Amino acid sequence: MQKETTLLNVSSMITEELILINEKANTPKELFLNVAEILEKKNIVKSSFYKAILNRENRFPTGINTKPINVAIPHADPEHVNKAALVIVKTKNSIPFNQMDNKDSKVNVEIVFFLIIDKKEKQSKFLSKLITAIQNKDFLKFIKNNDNARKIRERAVKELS
Amino acid sequence: MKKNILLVCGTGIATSTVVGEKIKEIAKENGFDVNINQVKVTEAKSHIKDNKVDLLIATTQLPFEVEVPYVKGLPFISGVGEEETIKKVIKILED
Repeated sequence: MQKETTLLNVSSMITEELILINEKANTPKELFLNVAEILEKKNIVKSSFYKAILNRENRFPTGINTKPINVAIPHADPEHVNKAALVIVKTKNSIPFNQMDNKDSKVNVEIVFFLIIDKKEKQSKFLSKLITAIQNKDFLKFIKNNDNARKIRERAVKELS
Repeated sequence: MKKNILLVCGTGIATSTVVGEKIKEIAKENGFDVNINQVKVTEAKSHIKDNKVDLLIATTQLPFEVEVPYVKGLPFISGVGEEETIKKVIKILED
């Protein structure tokens, strides 16, 4: 029963429309602007989201060295979110993010996972799964080598359920 | 004796929750009795002042000097250097 609930939740959080392939942004700021616009149109986030996620990234960066394919996991406080979701972005060119535990050092990111979290308790299990997933080099390689949103979604749902 | 562990990240939500799950596992496997608190980095300093902290784990850069036993939590997120970090955590909790 428990497992079914989790599965349902993850499946509804990840949609093909929120998998962005060969996104052209060159900086985190550009990327946040593009993603915030999409999420706002779909009413997934509030209008305060863009500023919130940008400010947070500036103060507490989320670039992670998961070499050879580095990732970032930007997120904002739940108050800016209407509905839980996961956005997966594969960048056209790598984007320099500041590193999570060292603001002064950059990491070139190729895959960005936006955690759109509405309630911290509800999402904690999902977060653990996501962290496990970004440690899985095969999963990151699959996203990097695949341009099919449906396939990436399928794999992500499987990986995160 | 119960050990007080303080987890610190930017929002006190995302990465500290993940690290919390891992610490619970480590504590269970090694028979440590732990009490885990999660705070935002902006609340960390006052929490340390007002509470006993036996181990601080932060996934974000701390804007102040840490005077309690401290381990960087990023390896729990990236997977890079995780084994060594687990060893450090165990050593501090054994003391």
